[in-house]
Amino acid sequence: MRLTVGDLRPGAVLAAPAIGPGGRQLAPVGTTLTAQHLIVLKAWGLTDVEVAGDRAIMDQQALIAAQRVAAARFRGQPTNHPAVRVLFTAAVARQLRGGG
Amino acid sequence: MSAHTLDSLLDGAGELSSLPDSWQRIDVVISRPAANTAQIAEAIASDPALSLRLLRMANSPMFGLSQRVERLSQAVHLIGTRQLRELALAASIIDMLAGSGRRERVVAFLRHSTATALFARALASRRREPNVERVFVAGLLHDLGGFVIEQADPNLAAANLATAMAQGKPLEQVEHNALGFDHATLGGALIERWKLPLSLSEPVAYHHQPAAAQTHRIEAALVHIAAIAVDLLGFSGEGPVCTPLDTKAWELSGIDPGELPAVASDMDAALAPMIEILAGDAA
Repeated sequence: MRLTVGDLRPGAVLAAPAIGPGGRQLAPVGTTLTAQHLIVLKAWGLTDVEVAGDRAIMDQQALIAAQRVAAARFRGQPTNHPAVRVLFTAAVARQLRGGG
Repeated sequence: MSAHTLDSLLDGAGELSSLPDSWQRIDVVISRPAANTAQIAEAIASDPALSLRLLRMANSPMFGLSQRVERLSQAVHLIGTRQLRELALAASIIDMLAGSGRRERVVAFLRHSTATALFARALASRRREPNVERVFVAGLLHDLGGFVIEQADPNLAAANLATAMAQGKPLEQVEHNALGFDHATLGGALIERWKLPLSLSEPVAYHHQPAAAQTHRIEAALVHIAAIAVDLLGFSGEGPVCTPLDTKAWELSGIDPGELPAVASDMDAALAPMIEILAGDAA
């Protein structure tokens, strides 16, 4: 599946090497992309890459990654409190939008 | 235990130990019960940087006014004298902090503080509090004590932060161990020295334990909730583990959890412009 770099989320796995301008390989096939990879791909001006899986799996992976980042901030909170639950959902949504 | 005491930090606060003269001159006029719009506008206009900042605040998404505010007299009319006084106070204090601290430190302070101020103000509006701008100022100043510790002893502030991060503890716990008091108590005490009302010093002093406030528990609860919510939502960047939400403070606030997503999404539009306005040259 071909995805634009803007749509990529950490956790996506490259199904083909990410090749930058001049043929330089930025990441080999099979790389699990991190936030740092995404910055590098953008910095090299790549517009799109080939990633494994379909969109549903991608979305699922992005959701899990966003939940993980948000959960780290919620350490020590009374997680069963209704306000904290609402804040967690909102925090995951912000993270998915790239706002966190 | 460090050599600093609450009094030694207050006594050593230097230029932060009293409010700026420019503010005192404006406050004399604004606080006069018989002052009319023109006199208030004229008093604020004597400080051109402050005037510009107030006009930008009036035109920011925080107010969502349908018409553009071009003149101070119009701002007095549309926003109200009392509210404008609070905003002028906020802007004067931020100016003073910007003049005394390192630029990166001021910007970092403003990021969490402005988010907290806007969030607390939004909660106060939903409660139909009579003076939402005072809650805004309390939110803006809630970590003032942290700024003072950093100014007085940057190494201690950095060590406290590192310990909090390493041990997974909220910063105020680590400060308590190192100093015997935390940034909330220090900030509240400084605001008392500035002779500002309890409705500002208490929400700052008790933003970690709102129920302990004597007279302004609700405002303290709103600042408490706001400071935590903006951290949890990721508006403040990464830092030490956040203070746990005090469920009694939540009850005290009377806020419906269902209102939080709307408050959070308003923040997306309002936060960046307000930081820019407040930070001014520091941004």
